[in-house]
Amino acid sequence: MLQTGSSETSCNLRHALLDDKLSYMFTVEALSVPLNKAPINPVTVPTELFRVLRRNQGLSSLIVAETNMPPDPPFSEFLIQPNQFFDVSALVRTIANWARGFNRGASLLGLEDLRPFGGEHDAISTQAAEIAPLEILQALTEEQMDEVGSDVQGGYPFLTIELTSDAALQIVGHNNFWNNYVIQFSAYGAALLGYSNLLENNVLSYTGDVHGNAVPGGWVDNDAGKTILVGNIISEVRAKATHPIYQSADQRVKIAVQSHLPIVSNMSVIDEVETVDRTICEKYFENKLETSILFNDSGAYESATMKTTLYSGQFAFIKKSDLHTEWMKLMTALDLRFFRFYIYITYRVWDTTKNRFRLSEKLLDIPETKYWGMTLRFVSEV
Amino acid sequence: MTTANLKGGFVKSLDISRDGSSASITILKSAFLKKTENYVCQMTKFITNITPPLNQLSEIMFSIRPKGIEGEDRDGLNFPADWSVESWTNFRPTPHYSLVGLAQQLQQFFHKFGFILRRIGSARLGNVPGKLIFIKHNPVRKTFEEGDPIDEFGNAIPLYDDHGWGGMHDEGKTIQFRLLPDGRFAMEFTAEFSSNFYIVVGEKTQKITGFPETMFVTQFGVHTFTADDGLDHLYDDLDLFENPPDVDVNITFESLYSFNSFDHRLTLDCVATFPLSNTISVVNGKEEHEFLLSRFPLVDFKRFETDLKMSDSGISNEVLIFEDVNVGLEDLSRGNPNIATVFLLPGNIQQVNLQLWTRYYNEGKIDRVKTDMSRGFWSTKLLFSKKQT
Repeated sequence: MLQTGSSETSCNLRHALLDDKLSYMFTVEALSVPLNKAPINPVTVPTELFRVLRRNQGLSSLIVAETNMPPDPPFSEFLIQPNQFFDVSALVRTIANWARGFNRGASLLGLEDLRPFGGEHDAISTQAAEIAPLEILQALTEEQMDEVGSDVQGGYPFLTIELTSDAALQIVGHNNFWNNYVIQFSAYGAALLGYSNLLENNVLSYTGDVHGNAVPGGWVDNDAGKTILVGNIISEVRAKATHPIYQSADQRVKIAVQSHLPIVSNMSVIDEVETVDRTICEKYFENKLETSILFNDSGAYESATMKTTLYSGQFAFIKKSDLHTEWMKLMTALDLRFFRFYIYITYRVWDTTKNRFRLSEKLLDIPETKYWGMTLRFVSEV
Repeated sequence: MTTANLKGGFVKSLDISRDGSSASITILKSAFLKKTENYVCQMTKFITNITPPLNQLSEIMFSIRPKGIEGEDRDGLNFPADWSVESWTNFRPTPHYSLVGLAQQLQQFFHKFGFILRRIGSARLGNVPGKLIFIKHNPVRKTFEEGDPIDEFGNAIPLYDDHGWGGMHDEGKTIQFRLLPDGRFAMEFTAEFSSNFYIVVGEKTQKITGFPETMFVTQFGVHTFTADDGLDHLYDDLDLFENPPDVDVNITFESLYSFNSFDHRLTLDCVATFPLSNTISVVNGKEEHEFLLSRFPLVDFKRFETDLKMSDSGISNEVLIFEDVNVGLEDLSRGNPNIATVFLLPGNIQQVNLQLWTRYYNEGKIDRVKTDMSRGFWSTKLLFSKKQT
């Protein structure tokens, strides 16, 4: 069966397909699905994952105007768009590019007056606000940042995005970043990227203790106004996500085909709730990360690479050459002429009311010009 | 083994999916299966996006200590106050899900230490400058000096110095961690490092790596000494340093055991409240009965491989290590429906309670912990087939 532009396919054969005197088992022996509208994140509107705020020392963190960044250009926010990413590596690359953009935007602004940033907001002069480890940074021009080979090519290195070899996202912030800025995550963004356990009221910040250690949090006082406190960070801080990004950033779970064929009702328990299952085949978005690490001739660490399966475009979830082990019992073969099948996709969607992921199944969106195809094989009992 | 099209081989399936918890507890509206003694249960599929951390180590694995001059008291010698950032001199791993992930953490720790040392200079334990930013390129504006360029309005044209590790002649690597082609690992102490520091290895790390408690290099005359020659070459019974601290050779210490030894995971177990026949396991001759639906040996999913590169100029010393990391959705049954088959005992199935456990091998004993699924998802398909006689 081959169907374009719809997640439902049906047909009425001229003659019964099977011998009604026999009992049959059947399996799906080939399934090819277009994933053009199955991105890793099922958002329907531009959705913010995180944004950078000013660490405006001495003022209230509750007043938006005292922490927000200039709205134009909007370089401080990171949003994902509907149907934007089909692989986690593309998301990571985009975050890394966003960080480069942030470095340029923040360098254009400069930190010439630290008072609206990490310096005391009521210091009498710009010089008085520069208390170590705070540092005045002259605003750069586009020309300076574009000059090839320049020390400030690309801007000041406020932020760098890395991926560890076990695929956890790592935000590397210069001390000039953590002393003057914090990162506010949406609950969804934090869960998606692996930062939920590192946040204080949804904010990723670091504060230096008396020994110079960078301790997560501590950017606001516990008073009524939630007054912003000084950073005192003396070195770079690597904010490593608590789990590999591949565990959460690809929200696709499985593709399933359901039918009206007379099969034994099977049971499904989803998040402890019982339902009847009419699935005749299901295939998960399995992904195994292959990582490699290279030490050069002199023994020095050189690079790490990662390889994953790319689920994008027309994808064969079940190949004819596969070994087929999932068989369904047909209750009766009597006058079996009418066939109808639906194709579904299951996502782990973010439940904003409960602040957790839950499983959600919906019909797979099949573009008009794309097709999904399936082959069924029936065998009689012996 | 179940034959799909065997006459009378009645088959029923149960799919269980759970997000955010290692337990799934459900009482069905009616009995799903009666007279269960007539059935076998097969787990045809077990999908999860969670891989447990490799181990439960939380000790300081490597602690870098300052080396004193002859006669100086070891206990009285500490890093100066500016070195008080514990993570600069003590390596405590963060949870790691792959061996190369741990290798990268170690590599970064030693590199950062070397970078800090290089910024201070190699003079023994000088003061640390106020800020040490361990990134590749870190432009820091130079203070204007007489003769520096100025623009047409007489203003100083800003000049920058690169204070990152990328600008250093050896990238600041005074001690180097690397994996060896046979899966072990090595730490290369440069003469500069050995002259100023030694390393104390954590108790559990000693057992895992085969390294001695103290790793050092000293020299006396033409002789070079390490821990193999005795700790008294570093300090005496009164904890006073022996031998001049300065060393002029680079020494590489290789671990006795494979880096793989850091992986303590044994199995991922799925326990169910069905009337299951028991599974007998024997640990060190001691019999244990468990009611397991399935047990997945995590060692089966490991792949740790190496590459040997050759060219016209001979065999390359380049070491390339590959590893599979199970961090995406993965079917632990690997498509084999017979991976877990259990005979059922008399009873009914109405209550469906499943719980996941991870077992670790820790210093001769087996630890069993609930699998952390707080951010994970798992799904399994159980197939109940009628026994054929």
